[in-house]
Amino acid sequence: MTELEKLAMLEDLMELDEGTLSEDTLLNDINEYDSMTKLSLIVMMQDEFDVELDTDTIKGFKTVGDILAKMIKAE
Amino acid sequence: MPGALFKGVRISGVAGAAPTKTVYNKDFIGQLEENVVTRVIQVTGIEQVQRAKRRQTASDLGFAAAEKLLTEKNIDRKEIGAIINVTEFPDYIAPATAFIIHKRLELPQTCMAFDVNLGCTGYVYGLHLACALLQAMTQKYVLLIVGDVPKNNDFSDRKNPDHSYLMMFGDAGTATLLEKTNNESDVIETDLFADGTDFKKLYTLGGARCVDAPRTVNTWSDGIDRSMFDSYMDGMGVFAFSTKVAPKAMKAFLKRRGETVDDYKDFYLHQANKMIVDRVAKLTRIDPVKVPMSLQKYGNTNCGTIPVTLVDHLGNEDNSVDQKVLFCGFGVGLSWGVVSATIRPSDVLPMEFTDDIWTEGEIQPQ
Repeated sequence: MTELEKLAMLEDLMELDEGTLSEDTLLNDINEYDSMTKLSLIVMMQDEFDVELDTDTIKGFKTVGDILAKMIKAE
Repeated sequence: MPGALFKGVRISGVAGAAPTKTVYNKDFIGQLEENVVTRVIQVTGIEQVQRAKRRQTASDLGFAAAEKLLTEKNIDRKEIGAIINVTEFPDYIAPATAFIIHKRLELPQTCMAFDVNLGCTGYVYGLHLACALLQAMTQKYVLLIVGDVPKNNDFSDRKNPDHSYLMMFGDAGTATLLEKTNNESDVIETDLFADGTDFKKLYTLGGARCVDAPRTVNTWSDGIDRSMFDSYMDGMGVFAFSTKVAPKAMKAFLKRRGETVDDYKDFYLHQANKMIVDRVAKLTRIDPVKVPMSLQKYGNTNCGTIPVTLVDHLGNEDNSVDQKVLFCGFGVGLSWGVVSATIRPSDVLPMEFTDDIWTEGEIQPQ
C-alpha cells in the first residue's frame, strides 16, 4: 500500500476531503481527530493491518506520519 | 478444561424496574457543545435514559422488580434458598443490601443472602453463582437481583464534566428467578474470566484506599474534571479490551460445545455502547438482527444491561416456546464471561416504572 493510499484511508476515517492530510500534519490541529475517530482507528488497524493499538501508543501519536508508520501489515 | 455445566436448572422468570423520568441526551445541547453531544450520541447509540430521583437506590428498583416477579408467578417464598444482589452501589457499606431486599420481600430465615460487587459481568457471574448454589441446596429457587443506580455522577456544576458518563449511564433494577427443575435437558453453561492486571481501565474509587484522598475536583490529564471519588473509564482501553476478549471467549465457548452462532436465537451482549456491541458482534460473526439492544432507550445500565435487554426485547411477548440464548458480559475488573441458557419469552415480564423510595432505609442518628 502506498503512502498516498494510507493517507486516503485516514482522510476517509476522519470524513475529510481527499488531500487534506499530509505526513507532517499535527493531530492536535485536526478537529475531526476526536475520541470517536481514535476508536475507528483501532478498528481500522485491526481489520486492515492485523495491528493492535493500545491506549499509550495512540496517546503517543503527534503527527499523521506517526500513524502512517504503524499502518504496516503484521507478519 | 475450564468452564461450568449446570443441568436441571433454568431461568424461569425475569423482571425489570426503571424510574419514570426520561432524560433525553439531545437536551444536553446548551450545557455542552452541540457537536460534542452529537458525537457522543453517534458513538454510544444512546438517545435517552431513565433517571432515578436523588434518593431512589438500586435496591428500590431491584425490590420492585422482584416483588412483581414473585407475585405474578405466584412463587412460594419458602422455597427460595438464596438471594444474591449484584450491584456496585449498595445502600450501605454494611450490611449487604441483599439483607434489606430479603427483609422487604419477607423471605424466610432459611434463605441466605449476600451482595456481589460487579459491573458489566454482574449478570453472567450472577447466573453462575445462582446455579451453583441451587444445585447444592434443597430449596427450589434462587433469586438473583442485578441493578445499579450510581450515586456519584451529578456533574451539573462542573466546568468540564465527563460527558460520556453524563450521557451514557441509565438507572434500572432487575430480578431473575433460577429454578431447579431436575429436567436433564434444562442446561446452563458458563465460561467466566478475570484479570485484575488492567483494573485501572475502569474504576470507581472511594473505599478503604481513599482514607486520605481529598474530595476536591481537579482537571485530569484527559481534560475532564474529577475527584478521587468519581468513576473513571479509559474509553479506548475498554474498547480495545472488549473487542479483543468478548469475541474470542464466545467463539471458544461455541467451539467447545460443537456449536455455531446459528444454534442460537439471540445474543445478549453487555450494552456498553453501540460501537462496542456492533464491533463485538461483527468479530464473532453474529448477524446484527440477532443482537437485541436496549441502549437507545435505557442507556448503559451497568450490571443490569443484559436482563434489561431481555425485558425490553421479550417482556411483551406471550410466546411460550423455549429460545436458546447466549449472554456475554465484559468490563470492570477486568472480567468477562459467556453463559448459554434457554428462555421462554412468556417468563419475561414487561418493564415496570416506579419512583418508589424505601424511606425506612434512610436511618437517622440514634
